[in-house]
Amino acid sequence: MRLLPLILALFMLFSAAAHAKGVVLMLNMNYSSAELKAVEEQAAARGQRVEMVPPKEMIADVETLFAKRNALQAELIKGFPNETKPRINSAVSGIMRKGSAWDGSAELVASLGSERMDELAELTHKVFAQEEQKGSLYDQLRRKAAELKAKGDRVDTFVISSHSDGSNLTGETNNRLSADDLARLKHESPELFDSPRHVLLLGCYNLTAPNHKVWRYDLFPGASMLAGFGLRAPSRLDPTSSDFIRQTLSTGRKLDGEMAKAGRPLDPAYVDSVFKSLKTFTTKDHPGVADYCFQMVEGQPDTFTHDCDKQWEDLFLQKKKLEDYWSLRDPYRDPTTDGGGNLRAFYNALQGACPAEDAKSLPQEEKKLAERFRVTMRELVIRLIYWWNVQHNFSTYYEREIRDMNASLNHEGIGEMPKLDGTMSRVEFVNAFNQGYDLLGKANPGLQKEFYRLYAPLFFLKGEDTVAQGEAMDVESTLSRKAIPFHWIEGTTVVRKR
Amino acid sequence: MRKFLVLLLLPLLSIAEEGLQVEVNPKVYAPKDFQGKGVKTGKIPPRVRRADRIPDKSNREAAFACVPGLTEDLAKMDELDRDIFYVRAKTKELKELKTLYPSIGEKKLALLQQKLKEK
Repeated sequence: MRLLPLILALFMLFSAAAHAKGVVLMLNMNYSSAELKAVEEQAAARGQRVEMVPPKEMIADVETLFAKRNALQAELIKGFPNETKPRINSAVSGIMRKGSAWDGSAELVASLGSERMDELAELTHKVFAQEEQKGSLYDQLRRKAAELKAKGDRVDTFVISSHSDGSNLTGETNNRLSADDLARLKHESPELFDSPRHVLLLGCYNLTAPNHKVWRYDLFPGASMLAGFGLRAPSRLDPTSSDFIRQTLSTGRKLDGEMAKAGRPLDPAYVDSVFKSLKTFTTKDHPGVADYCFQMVEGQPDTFTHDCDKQWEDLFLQKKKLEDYWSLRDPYRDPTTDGGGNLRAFYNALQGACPAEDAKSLPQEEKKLAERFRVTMRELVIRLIYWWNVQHNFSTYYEREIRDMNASLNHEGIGEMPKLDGTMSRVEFVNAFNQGYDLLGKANPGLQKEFYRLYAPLFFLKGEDTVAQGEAMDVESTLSRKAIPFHWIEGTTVVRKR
Repeated sequence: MRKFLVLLLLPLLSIAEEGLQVEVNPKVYAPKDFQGKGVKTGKIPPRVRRADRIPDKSNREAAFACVPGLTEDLAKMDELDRDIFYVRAKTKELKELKTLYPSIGEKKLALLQQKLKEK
């Protein structure tokens, strides 16, 4: 019942009159003309126009490129049955980049001829040059938001078609949009995310339980319908994908109309039956998932829960993908300042994953280790997400020691450590730590030990989930184990030096 | 394996006139295997989980479910926010918790804190 006012506010906000100048925004990262056509049909039925990022005029060139690439792949698979598919794909990718200069296999080069190879490379470079000229997708979306705002248009529907790991979006050319980019866009151009009434997420894993929460609560809290896939999404070349667009958008429109007419939320059982009656929603291979006014409908039972193995596989994969954040030797990404971005998504995935005990593919002896991995990672990730508070609390607590250390470093001619004032980049801090540690190793090994002892907790950002029996659970003992007290993730928790 | 480790440590033991300290996990090694002249041996104490650690999801949700209506209040929170709420409820004063979560009634917050203390 608490949702009632919210739902009523939603449908008032997204009622037909409010959408007189609404547009359908499509982020079409693989330039699919079939999906675009389906989106255009639905927009026409709503009396709206479609805006596409990247621009529609690139579709012809890119689809020609993809068609030639796919034809070449198929031809090579047939002509070289002893070659593995990954090797063929690698060869095609090499030819696309280098043309006849590619020299991975003399036999293959001979069969293709230099003219054909150069033609494919030329087309590839043409597409890449166009993409470079348009700028990153992040920039293109920001420009599009400004353009729509200037015209007084609002986004009524947002369709996102891309490859996805659930939170980061990729295309088959150079198009990329990370979860961090999305979080930044949400911050800078909130109208793109706050106004859509319907959102389609056509990538894989976007609507698995943990990812779904991020899309719903962090990105599109106002949408009456989010629809997509809990597991693998169908290929854009599969008509299922275009039909899914048609069926879910027309269903969302129909349900919104019925809700507006009734003046109250719809019966959950009815909503459930409407979505489940859609042919593209209950497919065996790509069951749909819809979140209609906070009601989850899954195309098949247990879409979220039956694949515990996959959840753990994804967690390990995501951990590797996010290495840029927590590599202690070579980090190059900072946590976002607005709530976590893909670090938050990873945290949610970690905490939302099924018990390792239920993952059949994990060997028995690794199940305990997997749970240990979950604990360790979430301890680290939470401190990374709140890096900005953590560093500030650290520098307040150790104010005197940091001042003395900087004086000693100056004395050694090494210079000072970066000022941890709550805005210092994690990357810059880790690099400075590594550099300082190496330089002190030669200049003053005694000072190196002190330096390490002081900064190690901030460098490792370990959690404090266990303590030795009998050990005090205080700040000092936590820091002495190179861990950061949990409460330091809060802003200005430490108000004076120790 | 154990003998091999002791052999590896022997050179260290010989230079440990000033007092080398060796702490071992008693489940893996016997401290006596590391005894030698000037060597103090000991056991690494077992580790226990902190009371204010980040909770397991099932424990967390079970605690929330003990407070009528709380699960609905938290419906919009993701895993991270729920964990932070849980740890705050365990470690902060009710007054501060009320300021941080004004939309959740004081009675529910107090009841949650009481339930968490009982756990």
